[in-house]
Amino acid sequence: MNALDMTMCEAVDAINAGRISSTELVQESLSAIARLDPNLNAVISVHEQHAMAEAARLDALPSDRRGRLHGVPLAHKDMFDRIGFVSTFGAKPIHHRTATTTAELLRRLEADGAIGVANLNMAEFAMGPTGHNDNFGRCMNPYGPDRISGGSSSGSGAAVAARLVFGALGSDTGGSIRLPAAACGVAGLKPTQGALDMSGVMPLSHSLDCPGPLARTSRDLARMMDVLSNDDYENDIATSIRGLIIGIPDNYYLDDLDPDVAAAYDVAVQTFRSLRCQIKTVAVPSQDMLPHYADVLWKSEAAAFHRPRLTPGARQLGEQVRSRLTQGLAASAVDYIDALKLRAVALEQMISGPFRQCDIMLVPAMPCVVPTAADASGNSGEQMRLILEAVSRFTRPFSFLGLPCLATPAGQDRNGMPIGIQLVGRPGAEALLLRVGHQFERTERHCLPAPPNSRAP
Amino acid sequence: MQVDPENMDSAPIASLADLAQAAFGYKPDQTMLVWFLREMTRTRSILDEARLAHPHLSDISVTEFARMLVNEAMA
Repeated sequence: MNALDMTMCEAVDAINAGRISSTELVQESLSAIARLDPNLNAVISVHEQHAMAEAARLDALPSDRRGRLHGVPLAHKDMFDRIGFVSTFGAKPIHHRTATTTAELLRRLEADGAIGVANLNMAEFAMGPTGHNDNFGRCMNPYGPDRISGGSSSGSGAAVAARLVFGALGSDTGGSIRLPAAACGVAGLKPTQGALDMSGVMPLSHSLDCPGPLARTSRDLARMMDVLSNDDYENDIATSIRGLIIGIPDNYYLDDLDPDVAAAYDVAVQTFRSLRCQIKTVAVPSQDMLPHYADVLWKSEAAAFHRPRLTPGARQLGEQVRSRLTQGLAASAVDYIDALKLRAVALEQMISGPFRQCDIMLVPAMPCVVPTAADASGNSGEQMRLILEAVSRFTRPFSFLGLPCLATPAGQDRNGMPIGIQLVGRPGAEALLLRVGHQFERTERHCLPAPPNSRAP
Repeated sequence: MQVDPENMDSAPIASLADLAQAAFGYKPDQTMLVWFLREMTRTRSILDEARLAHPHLSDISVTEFARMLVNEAMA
């Protein structure tokens, strides 16, 4: 087995068993980036010197001082500050800055032995679900370079899928972890709103932002979450899910599905039956307006954050980004406040409705197959809005609701592109989601082959 | 004077642009102004419908959602 084909947990075990050193693993990762990233554009900057120095330091540590992520190369969306290193936020050079602190989540990962080898491509200021970026170039999908990688954590999805690194941090405000995870065929977790520390992370919307991990398996996600939240998710991950009630929504999330997505979803339902889960159709309250309420929140908050840059002629923002941010100026304070209140109304309806009848809801990650970059590239405000609405239709409501969601692969479409599902839980249900994801992933029918553009032979 | 965002030709553009400048710090061109008024109207109408559907919305605290998340996570 090629070293980079191991899972994160396997890599840690291999290092601890002496079968490979961290230095060797980091060299493999850096080599893979150099060889493959020209065709992926997942990476913005590489930290070779830092990574090799860290690897050497970690290789010298005695076993009783090794952390849970000892020696594994990771990379992160270029909005997690690292002291002394430049964060670009996927934006124009005028906005790049050298960080004066290190993001708390980054600090925790590296205090437990992870090594940050690169900063990863992202949508400009984390605004965009497709992976397009006029400043750094489009991030390409390892399963099909003409297809979108998903965004805004585009490089995170692509780099993990292509086996450049074992895991990555991303951020999710309306789908920005789940969409690249689904499009690139990896696992991604959007935790419960507020579950993870945001210090040192560039904000898009304080009300909706959720940092979270991407990796190739739910077990790897659990290992990362153990470190990120100082909790214990991995220990119980193999616990049986027999008898668990999986909720199938009776509306919205199964409407107008592409036939390949519908077929993959049906197979996923059958998989859960075979795992001895109960399948139950649950009545879901109307979801149609939730993305619009969410828009009022995030656009207002993002517009406030970027206020100085919104003056026409300032030329500090890409046109698409400026267009979306300007919409944030159109909401009154009263509308913003009522949108905040509507979150409580909507959450109450979900808790007292479907989540009173099931443990986990199962929904597709996207209603469509992964679109081509050409189809998803819209420069007019209205065209862009239609594309965003389609691709993120099933992710944005759960962002508004603040619920934890795990995206994981569920097969491939007629173009060979990954199809993803979302497992959605009640607030705080990350451990259950990871257990369910782990059991689901262990069934062979949902294993994806390595992408054509990856480290694997 | 009532302003119809669907019929801007007769609107007092100068005064609307002045209003925009007061709000945003710059005077948008006519295209942007029309688009902006449409967007404001659309947003307000979405929230007006929500306020009609949930008459007790005004009784809810803006911190209620965060409280619910914490309570549910601990349950």
